Amino acid sequence: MIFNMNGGGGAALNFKIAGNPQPSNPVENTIWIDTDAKITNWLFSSHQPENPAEGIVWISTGTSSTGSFNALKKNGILVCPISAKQYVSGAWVDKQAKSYQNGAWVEWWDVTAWIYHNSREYTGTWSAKAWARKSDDGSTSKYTPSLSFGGMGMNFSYNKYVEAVGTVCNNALLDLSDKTKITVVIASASPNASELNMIVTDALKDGYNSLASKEKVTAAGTYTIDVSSISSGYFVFHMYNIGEYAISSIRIE
Amino acid sequence: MKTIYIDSDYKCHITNDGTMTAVETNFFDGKCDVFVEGYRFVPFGESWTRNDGEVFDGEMISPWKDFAELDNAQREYERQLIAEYEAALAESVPLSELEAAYQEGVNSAYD
Repeated sequence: MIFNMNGGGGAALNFKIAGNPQPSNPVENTIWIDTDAKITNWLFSSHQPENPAEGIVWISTGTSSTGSFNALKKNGILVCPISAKQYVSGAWVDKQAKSYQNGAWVEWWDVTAWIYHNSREYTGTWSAKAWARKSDDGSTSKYTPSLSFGGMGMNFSYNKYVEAVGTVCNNALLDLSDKTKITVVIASASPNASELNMIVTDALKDGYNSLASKEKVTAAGTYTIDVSSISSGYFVFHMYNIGEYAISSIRIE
Repeated sequence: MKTIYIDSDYKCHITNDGTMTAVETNFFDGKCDVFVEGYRFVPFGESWTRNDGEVFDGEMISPWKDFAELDNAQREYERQLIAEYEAALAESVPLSELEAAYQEGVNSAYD
């Protein structure tokens, strides 16, 4: 959905958009963009706008969000914001954003769910490595993906147009002894994403083994891996060639 | 890359009994038969329903046997391979003898 208006708001709108400082007395559905750059315009869209003007804020939308709201006072248009970016000095910049709902500022995604099981959070530390997995051909090139946090969650990207691999990994050793599946929610994937593999490994090192894996992911969605026969392991993302991904949650159950 | 065979429950096999589907994958490169046959391979576009009702979409590869058991089998397989290599190495002609024979051959050419 593309929903574009020239700043400010209208009587029929059920939300407002504001930059820094964070509004101190916000109304319901105020969207705060954590930016000091002047917001010249804004739009909601599931796809990155082309030919953006300086200062425009793009709020990406999806099919679900913890900050969903009705855009109009008389309902009718449900908006599910996922992330915010602003076009600043010729480039899109990730911006933290929250919505004011029911008396509190709320995130648009589950901030606790990097690696999460019931009430225990395996936060670990995420890092990007120029690692291949053991089954990669020995002649495959290795590069380090870019890695950042914000917007839709954990974001990583890889842009190599030759056969090349890279890895994003978490250093928490997961206790899988009474767990049966790992669920990964990918909030977004770039249209040119070539291949993402989600792997449970027994060791964090270049040339890691694959104990279990979900292979060849190229789109946003929810993906599961059966781990009912594995007692422990590490979780890594193995990337091939090209793609940008935003991970909103990883759960073990 | 290795060709394995999957049955109707997506369990992997080394040989085809005539009812299975062939799959090419590098996931099992270097793995022994016991290891391979303890796995399930769900191809892309297909789904497997676990006996508790959970559905897993392919391509997904995961063990159906206890991984510790498969890992032990693989380690034993690799130990056996190493033992075989060492035995072959022990029976081979030492490099020094090869060099000596070569030199003797070279020298005899000028006899």
